[in-house]
Amino acid sequence: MSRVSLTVTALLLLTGCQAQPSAEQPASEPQSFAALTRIETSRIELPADEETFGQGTHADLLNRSCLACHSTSMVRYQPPLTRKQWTATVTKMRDAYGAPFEAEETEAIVDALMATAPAKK
Amino acid sequence: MDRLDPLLARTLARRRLLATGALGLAAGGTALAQSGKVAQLLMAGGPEQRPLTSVFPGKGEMILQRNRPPLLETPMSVFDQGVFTPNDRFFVRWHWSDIPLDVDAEAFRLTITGGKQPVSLSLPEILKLPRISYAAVNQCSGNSRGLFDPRVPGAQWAHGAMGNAIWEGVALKTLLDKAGIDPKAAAVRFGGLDKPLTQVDAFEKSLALDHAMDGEVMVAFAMNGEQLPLLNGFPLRLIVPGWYSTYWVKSLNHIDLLAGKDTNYWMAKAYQIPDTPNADVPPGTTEFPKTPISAMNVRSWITSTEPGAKVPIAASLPVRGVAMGGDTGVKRVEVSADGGKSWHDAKLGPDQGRYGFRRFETQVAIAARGPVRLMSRCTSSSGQVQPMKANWNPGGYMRNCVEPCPIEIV
Ligand code: HEC
Repeated sequence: MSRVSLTVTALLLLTGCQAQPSAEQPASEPQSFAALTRIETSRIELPADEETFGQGTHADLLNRSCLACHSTSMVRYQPPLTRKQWTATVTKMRDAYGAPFEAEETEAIVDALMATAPAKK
Repeated sequence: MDRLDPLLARTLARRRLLATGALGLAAGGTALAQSGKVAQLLMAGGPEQRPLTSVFPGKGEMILQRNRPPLLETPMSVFDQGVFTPNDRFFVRWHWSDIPLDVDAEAFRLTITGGKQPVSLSLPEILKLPRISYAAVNQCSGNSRGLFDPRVPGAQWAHGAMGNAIWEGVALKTLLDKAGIDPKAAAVRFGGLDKPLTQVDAFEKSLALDHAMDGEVMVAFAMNGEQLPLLNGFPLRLIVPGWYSTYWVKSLNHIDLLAGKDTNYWMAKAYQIPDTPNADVPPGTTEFPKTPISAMNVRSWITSTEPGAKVPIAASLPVRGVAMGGDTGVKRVEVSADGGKSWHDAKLGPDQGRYGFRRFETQVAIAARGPVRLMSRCTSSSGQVQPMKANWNPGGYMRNCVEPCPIEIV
């Protein structure tokens, strides 16, 4: 940080606002809204969710065990987890949420995650 | 059956694929990462990239954390545009994928059980009751979880699992008074139209009776002057100002007065924090006395510049952001441009009520080109100050440290 020396000047109200009109947008900030008078039926369609873990033994196991309740990204966006953390997560999916696999399959699922999901090996 | 059996799982997956095919034809293929645009989140160890998507109905461009059930994060630039977060940019978070997608406003009823008499109210009946309205920040318990160090499992949010809106509705007290409260009542439980896929506890949350009766907790039907978007809990949502979003039950259709403590999974097992100041334990700790998460803590974010931005040199740089006191107002926001060595008060925007965001702004003088570490630090009206050091717990809850925003002057 050697070449840079900086000071902060508290922006003083008048001058600052005039110099930087973009710094404040009071006009776009309504204080309140009109009271709601009626509620209409609401209906939406969600985008498709086609993504799977792909093909192969590991992917098949994860497709069958992990996609009933959420997308692959719940798994793919995890940070690199240790074997212990993945084991705890997989166990939780079965014990707490009723994920569709047998307790004996836990280790194979964790192997699949360690091989294909973000993992600290 | 308390476990989703493999056959059902396969059927569900197949039905999904079929539905997908049908939808793909009808809608001309709502491909997900349609824009090809990517958000780069700063998360040590990665993964750091998320698609930006505009394909969710009623939503503008959002950071796609998860398609099903949707986890959509608000890009930080949205918070720079105003103190209220527009409904079409408000973050989305569901637990179970069976979420309400089609709600008939005429058929809908809110029921209350466990009181002196059962209550069932239609939406027009609710609209006729005395109303309250206020601004409040809705923030996920795990907002900023992706920045935990060491990292923890869970939804890997950056800072955008939050939003500020004006909520309008009926005080929960008004509704509970209609049911009549038995002297034995201790807690009030809230359930919505979303349902688990297996025979496990539905996503339900509860509040102590005194809290539920405080006159502030609200059953909202409007958000920023409009009916709630389906993805944010249409037609009714519980508003628990100052408390984390986990209590703000979406698509609320059932309220139950309980004689004892709520023992359901989502109160007794999930959303537990260490019972320590600011939910902080040494990184790696797994055993500690636990308590359900509750009130939010003090926070602030710089919104005028993204971390990593290259900013052309000028005599001074405007710095803006949003701050919140937690469950009280904002007293003060200071800004630093030297990594926290020196601090100067920023000017606060209009006070929109103690539960809402407060905007701040200032100018920092620029002396030369090179790296600059911007920071903001909020003090709440109850005297809580954002710590420099991040708190840590294995759930990834309640982060509230001063967030550095490193930029480069070029
Ligand atoms: C029966 C439904 C179900 C199945 C099947 C399932 N999960 Fe989950 N999963 C959930 C729920 C519910 C959550 C928590 C809600 C949320 O965060 O949206 C969750 C959350 C997660 C999380 C976030 C961390 C956490 O503890 O909340 C990860 C990672 C995860 N699941 C991985 C998996 C993996 C790997 C599989 C396959 C072995 C799997 N899930 C199968 C229901 C399920």
